Amino acid sequence: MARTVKKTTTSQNSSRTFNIPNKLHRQSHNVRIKSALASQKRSERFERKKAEARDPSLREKRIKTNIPATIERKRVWDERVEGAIPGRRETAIEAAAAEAAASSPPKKQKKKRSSDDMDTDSDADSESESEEEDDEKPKEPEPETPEQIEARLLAAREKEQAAKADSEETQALFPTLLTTPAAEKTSYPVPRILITTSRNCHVHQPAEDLTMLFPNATYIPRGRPGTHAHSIKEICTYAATPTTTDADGSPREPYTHVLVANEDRKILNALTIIVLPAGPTFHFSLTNYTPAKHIRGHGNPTSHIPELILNNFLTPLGRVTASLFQSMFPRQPEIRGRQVVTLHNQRDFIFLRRHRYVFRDRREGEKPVGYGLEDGGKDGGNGSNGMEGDVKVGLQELGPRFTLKLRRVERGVKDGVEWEWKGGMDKDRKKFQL
Amino acid sequence: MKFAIGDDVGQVKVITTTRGIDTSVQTSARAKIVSFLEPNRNAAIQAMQVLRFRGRDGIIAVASKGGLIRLLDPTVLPLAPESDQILHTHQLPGGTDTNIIGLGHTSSGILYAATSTGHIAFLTQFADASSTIAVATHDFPGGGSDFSAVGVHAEQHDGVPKAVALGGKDRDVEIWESSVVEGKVMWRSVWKAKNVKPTKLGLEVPVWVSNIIFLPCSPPPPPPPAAAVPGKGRRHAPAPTTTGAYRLAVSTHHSHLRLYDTTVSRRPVFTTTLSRTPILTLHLHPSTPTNAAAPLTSGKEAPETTNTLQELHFVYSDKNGYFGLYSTATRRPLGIYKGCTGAVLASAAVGELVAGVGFDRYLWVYEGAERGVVSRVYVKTKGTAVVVLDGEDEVVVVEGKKKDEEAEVWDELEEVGDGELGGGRKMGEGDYTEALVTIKRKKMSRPRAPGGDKKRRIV
Repeated sequence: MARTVKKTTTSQNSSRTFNIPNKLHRQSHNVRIKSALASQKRSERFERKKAEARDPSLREKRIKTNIPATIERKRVWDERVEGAIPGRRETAIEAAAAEAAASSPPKKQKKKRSSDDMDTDSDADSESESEEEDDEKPKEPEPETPEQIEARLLAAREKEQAAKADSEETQALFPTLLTTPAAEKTSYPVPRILITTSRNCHVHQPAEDLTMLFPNATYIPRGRPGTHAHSIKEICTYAATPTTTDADGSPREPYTHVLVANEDRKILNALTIIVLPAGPTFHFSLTNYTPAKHIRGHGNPTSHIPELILNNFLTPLGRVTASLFQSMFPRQPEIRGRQVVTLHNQRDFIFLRRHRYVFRDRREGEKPVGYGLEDGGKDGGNGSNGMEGDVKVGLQELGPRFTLKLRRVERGVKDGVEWEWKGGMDKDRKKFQL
Repeated sequence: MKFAIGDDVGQVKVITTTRGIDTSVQTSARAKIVSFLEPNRNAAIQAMQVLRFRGRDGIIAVASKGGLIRLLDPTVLPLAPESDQILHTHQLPGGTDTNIIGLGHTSSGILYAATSTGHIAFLTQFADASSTIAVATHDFPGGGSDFSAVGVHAEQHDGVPKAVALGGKDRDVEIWESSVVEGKVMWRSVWKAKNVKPTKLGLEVPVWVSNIIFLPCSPPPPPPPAAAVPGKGRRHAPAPTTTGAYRLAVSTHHSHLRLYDTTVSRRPVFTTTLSRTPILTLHLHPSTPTNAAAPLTSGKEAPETTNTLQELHFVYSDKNGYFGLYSTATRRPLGIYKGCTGAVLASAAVGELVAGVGFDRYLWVYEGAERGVVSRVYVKTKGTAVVVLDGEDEVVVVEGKKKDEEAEVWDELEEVGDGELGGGRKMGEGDYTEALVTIKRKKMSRPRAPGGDKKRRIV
């Protein structure tokens, strides 16, 4: 049995800390309290572990109810996000409470929808839903009135229309994401990326690294002022409508994207990505750039087209940003290469990583794949049962790695602001833009 | 309140909202949104207008990229086939890349639509059910460059407006007047604006017109004798070619707001720079009183520094997301319509309301003069055009409860007056409820100061 330690507070009224005049005594007092609390916590944890080993249901119960209150989980309701925000703490707690109530049989509970799950526009759907009846015999649903039928049909049409509009908008913005190839061409357009740098840039290696990251990318150093100085708009015009021919005499293919890597004191600090020929333009600030050679145990990339993981882009702006990255990679990845590029959005920061994966057998003592990923598990759940067999995935980071933050989206080629990050947007830390 | 917006993927959305609805708040009531027309990325809506068609009010004229004008009936639900929703169509010449620079409805009953190539179609006789629609067209010479703005004078004769003003990139505003010669409409260029003087560095100020509005103007007075012309310089010499008098408000892609008076000079009588980015929309605020007879400016100061004699308030938006109100009388912005996070691509000012749509995918409705947000509705797509279908809130009429029978009996009983009782008492018998009941109001408790009680400090 563990010692019971009185929890102390730092309140001026109740804590002795503020009443000990001698500094050394006060310090040792604080250390004693700290270590006592830590040992208490540790012993509680060990006991819990033992108890859970005896009865695994305790662990399941704890995991379901004890959901860490992270900022992402506390994300506020946002009408721009279709449906519910995934992994919200409130939703998970409500679901756990509802499950607990359902498991206790005698009292009948009314079905309660989480406020977060309410689809704002499908009023008709909610109207047509019949509530649970008090009688034991389920009543036959009342026939819908013509107004209800009309409202239901209208709501369904609105949903269909919104999906179509979304698809049309994406295709209008990103020609490489066309779902049907243009009439004159039989194949889908393949992205070709022109990478250049800011003016007077003397560091070429990061831009060279980016050509290895994006397939079909070419690095052309920015011209020096005087002889070959071109503005971004001019570069975009030349890139979208090439007039020269290749070495074999065939006309050059137009580029689909221009990527301008901006450096400050020889460190990459921003990316400007322009979709050709007619925009939009995206400005990202770039932090924590780590080249591959600085990553311990890194692998070397191959020229295979990687797979792409776009994670947690929820709002329309987020989806447009995700579509931008999607449009920069060819549609058909070469699975043989086992390379994957991940763009993970968390709190409006986009983390870019590149890995090579391998499937291997599970070693002794290793936890199975999907551990903690069962529904309601500590990692939110992905529908797996938490025990996926004896195969494990090994990851090797290839690099480079960096973090992006979207600062501005412009219409056309630097032609009018569509959206711009402002300091006030981060004031409410539980509201996100992507 | 009812609004219709057009978006960049070719849809028209009719939005019914009321004051106080803010859909970004979870607990707020929801606005009703009905979408019309199939989404098509190649047919973005570029302009919209409300008009009376075949005896029915509230019909929306929709102009989309490619030059197609459609008259849409918003009362027909989109579940019906599209042929029932669209009452009339008119295709302007040009390919799929044709851009509409103006669609409007003059008070004299002309629907006009102009393309960037200088082609303008005037549709008349559509308001009455019996008459057939008449279409008059004219191609204004572009001179190799595209137009970007059009303004049409309110007066008309023979199915065409009295005057049309056009402007574009490197092409200053030009006014064409119509005249009918032997039953045929002729257009004649009568006035052309002259660019402002070069800057202090001797550089030419670039020209790129983005909006043109005809302001009310009375016919010019008979020319005074030369000696009586007030002020100095050529600014006050009347332009000789004009037959009518016109006043124009013009905004540019270089962020200028300019006022022209054709009776005064070819150069603007008032010019100012509103921001650093192109002006996208410009409206005269509806509450602005305009005096057609009084002069715009005193003419004693240069247009770069002068104030207008009349209070002209302009609602404008720029590419940087600024949406505000500007007064030419004080040469100062009166305030901003707060809240938009992207550029406002289209706005409408009707009655006491100002509405704006744009890149932030919201419909914003403001009080015109007070500039407070009246309603805010998330519309999912980027709006490119907006019109006000109904600026009033629907008032719910609640029928009064019928008095029950007992109350009726009591009402029928006659009241006994004081005189009948006698005895010198001031109040007779009867209902003293009002006198006896004293209304007690609970005193509002003061909110506690934040931070709790003052803590003891240990020194």
